Amino acid sequence: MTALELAGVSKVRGCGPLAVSALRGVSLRIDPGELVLLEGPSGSGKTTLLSVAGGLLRPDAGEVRVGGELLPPGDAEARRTVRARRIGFVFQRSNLLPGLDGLENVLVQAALAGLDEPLARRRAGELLDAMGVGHLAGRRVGGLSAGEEQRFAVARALVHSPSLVLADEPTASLDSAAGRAVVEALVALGRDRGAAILVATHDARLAPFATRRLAIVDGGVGPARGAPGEP
Amino acid sequence: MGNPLRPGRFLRRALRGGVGRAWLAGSGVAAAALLALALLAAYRGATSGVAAYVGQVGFDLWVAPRRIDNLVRSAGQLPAGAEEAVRAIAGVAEVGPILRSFAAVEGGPAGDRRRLTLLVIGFRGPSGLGGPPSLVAGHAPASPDEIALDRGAAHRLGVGPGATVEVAGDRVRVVGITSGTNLLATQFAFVDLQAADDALGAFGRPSFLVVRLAPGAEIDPVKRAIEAQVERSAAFSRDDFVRNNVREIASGVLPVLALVTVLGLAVAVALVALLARGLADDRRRDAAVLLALGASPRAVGLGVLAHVEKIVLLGATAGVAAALAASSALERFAPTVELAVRWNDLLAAPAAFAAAAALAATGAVLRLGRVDPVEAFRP
Repeated sequence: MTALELAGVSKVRGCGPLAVSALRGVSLRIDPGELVLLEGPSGSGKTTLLSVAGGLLRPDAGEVRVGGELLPPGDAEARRTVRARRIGFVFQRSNLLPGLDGLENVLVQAALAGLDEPLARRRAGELLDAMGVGHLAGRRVGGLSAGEEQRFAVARALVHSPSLVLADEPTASLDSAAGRAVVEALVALGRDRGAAILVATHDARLAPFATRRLAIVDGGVGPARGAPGEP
Repeated sequence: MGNPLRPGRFLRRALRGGVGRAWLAGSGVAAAALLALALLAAYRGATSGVAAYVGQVGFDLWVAPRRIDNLVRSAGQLPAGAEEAVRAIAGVAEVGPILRSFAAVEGGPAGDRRRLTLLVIGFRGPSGLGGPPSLVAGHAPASPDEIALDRGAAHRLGVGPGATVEVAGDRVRVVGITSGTNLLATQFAFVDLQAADDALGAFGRPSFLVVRLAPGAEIDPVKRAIEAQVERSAAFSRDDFVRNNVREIASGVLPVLALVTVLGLAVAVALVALLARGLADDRRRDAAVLLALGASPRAVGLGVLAHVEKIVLLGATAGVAAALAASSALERFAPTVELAVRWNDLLAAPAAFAAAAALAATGAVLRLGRVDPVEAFRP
């Protein structure tokens, strides 16, 4: 089953004279276990594509399916349900919730996905141990480094075994070593769980991990420069 | 079936604002609740003061000059011989004449003399009908040179049992301190009937008669007989007379009380609205993240609402506790104002504040639920 399928997706952002066609008839398929990089300059529409793929924005035209399930454009509640169960997010900043400790931040996603508590706690514990932050599970967000926070964010994105992980510049706020550790963990743990990973990034260091590199130009998506099959 | 994790337990804590802001808002709500409760208790104290006196057991009927229906605001006298006429009516067990007037009472240590205008009740002491409802010290006056003072008045005058005060220029000795006799605007003092008669020049014409019925006697026939026998008089059952006096107290105090209570509630509502608004602004990004992760706007809104309600209920509960403490402290150290704290008021105050909070927070909560989850992507 395809992890993510976009068919003829278009999206205009803004309105009136400021309206911009961010996506123009984008079609894209990503299979389970794939890591796809989405490259492009700032403002090219990478975040818009992630938002449409994640059901945060509804497309003006076209269809989006995640794990075979349609994200109905006119039904925000249905999109929310699919998002909670089938999609994981890693943001540029960790976006951990400061009122909770590290473990609870992971359990939030499990709760939203409707996981049973024992299963959720077991999975969260395994992920945090695998990410090397299990010993920090009870620590408040303010007491974690940026790299540690981003590892908790990766665990949050994977705890409910999603079909698709959407990551927006996940290494942008990390130093080189921390960024590499986070990406290695995301790739290894995501693939172990059969999740497809779509990463919007400028970071060339991620290229060796990718199964495909795509670029977004003028609202369309195609192979990135230097990717196999491109000049 | 398993045991699914409930998102609500995380959402409420995830959407909490800073501790300092919560403390400030809670303290403001507590202060507003204390203000409202204190005012209500002062009002209750005033009405319970008059009810405690005129509603005493044994005061089955009150006889007043015609067109006078209360003790608090009245001026008039019954005809001479009214007492004997009532005593002769079948079913009457005991009659107590009362002379009522306002008088200046001056007392306190030399160099610090204080003066109060008190509602002075002349009755046939020490055990005749018409005396104080309860004594916290000493005894009721038994001779023309004795007086019993309300404890709030005694506190303000700085006198106690054994002290001497002046009533309309006559020196009398304080022999008793009474309670349940504070009307907020004034207090009761009790003197011997003859002394009051001499001072007022009443010539045996009482202001009121208090009547105790014989066992088995019915109120209405006795009442009708009194009105027929005593010229230009009106008789009231105890309940009616209590109601009339509470009405008179309330007519002076209630508008001010209502105004200040409404202002207190408005302050509390403004604080709560500010808290909810602050939370909505503060936690906008967290709300966007939660919505992106799949939380429902309703759950996010309820999370904030639950937090606001929790602060308001804690604040109102603190206000209730402070009102109880203030009532107890005032009773012990400064009985000038009698706070009659009622349990139904204590329960109603947090409920009213919680309802006001829910209303005040609604706008902010709705706005939070409409946050665009795409904001979670913004660095």
